[in-house]
Amino acid sequence: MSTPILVPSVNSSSQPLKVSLWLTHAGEEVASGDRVVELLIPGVTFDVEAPCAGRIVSCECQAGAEVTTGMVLGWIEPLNSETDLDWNPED
Amino acid sequence: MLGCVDFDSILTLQERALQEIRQQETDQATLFVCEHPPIITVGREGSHAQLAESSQEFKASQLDVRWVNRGGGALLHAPGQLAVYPLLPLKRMGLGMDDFQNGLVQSLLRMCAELGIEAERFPDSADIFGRCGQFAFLGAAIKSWISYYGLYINVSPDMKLQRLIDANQHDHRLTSLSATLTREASMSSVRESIVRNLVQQFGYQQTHIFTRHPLLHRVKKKVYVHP
Repeated sequence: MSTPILVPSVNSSSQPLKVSLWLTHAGEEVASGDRVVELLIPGVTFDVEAPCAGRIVSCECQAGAEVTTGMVLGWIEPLNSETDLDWNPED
Repeated sequence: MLGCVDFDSILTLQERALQEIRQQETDQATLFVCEHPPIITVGREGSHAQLAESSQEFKASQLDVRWVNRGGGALLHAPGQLAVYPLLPLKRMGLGMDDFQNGLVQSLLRMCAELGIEAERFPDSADIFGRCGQFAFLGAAIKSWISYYGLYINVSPDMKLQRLIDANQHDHRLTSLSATLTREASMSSVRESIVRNLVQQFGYQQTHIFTRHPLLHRVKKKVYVHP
């Protein structure tokens, strides 16, 4: 089952956040804690980390989109084991 | 307080300090204050439209253009511009992204008040401007809830160089503290004031000051700009 990449609670006010850019793309494998997407308020960027290891299956919000806390930025299909991350189709 | 240091070296040093802060359990922070030899950096809010010349032309003038992962737009760094990089463990300090942004802006405004400069924050932005235009710029980033990069203050840089980019997004002229004061602004006073105000703003009590680091080399660089 896919795990959502959510907009974390980064602001104490209701200042709008924008998606600055995706640092990964659909199909790419990431480790837990890898930076996957960058958010922006005027003058400051914030890196959102992957909530789990897996493969990015979709990027829901594109660069420039305004987002709020709790919104789904994208989805990760978790890998079953650590070894899956090392899997190489050419092996 | 590190003098004029190469942009890449301070970036490496910030990465290293960020890893150290991430590993520690305390709310200890690091603040790098320096100037840079001439280089253009473009943040996430910047665009090619802000550059007065093409990358090739800048290259011919020995001016590197770097696209970097900080907020803010295009900036030309040069001696006379103070670069202030606070690395703060925001989560441990209970600060959000907007608290950090406001903290930087408030520190800048207090510094301006101490220098006798009337300054304001442009609504819905982090730009600071005075009667002659904009002289301070936010360009910060947060990774693993630790801040890096930070803010830039035009104390008394060569304004001919500054005109190579359109750093200003709100039709305020680009200026410096010296031009606003109509006398030479003292780099050491500005440095002392912004450091003290940042320390107070973010609630630190004890500070240790170092003026060099073994990983850093002070540098000089010549660039060639057409009049």
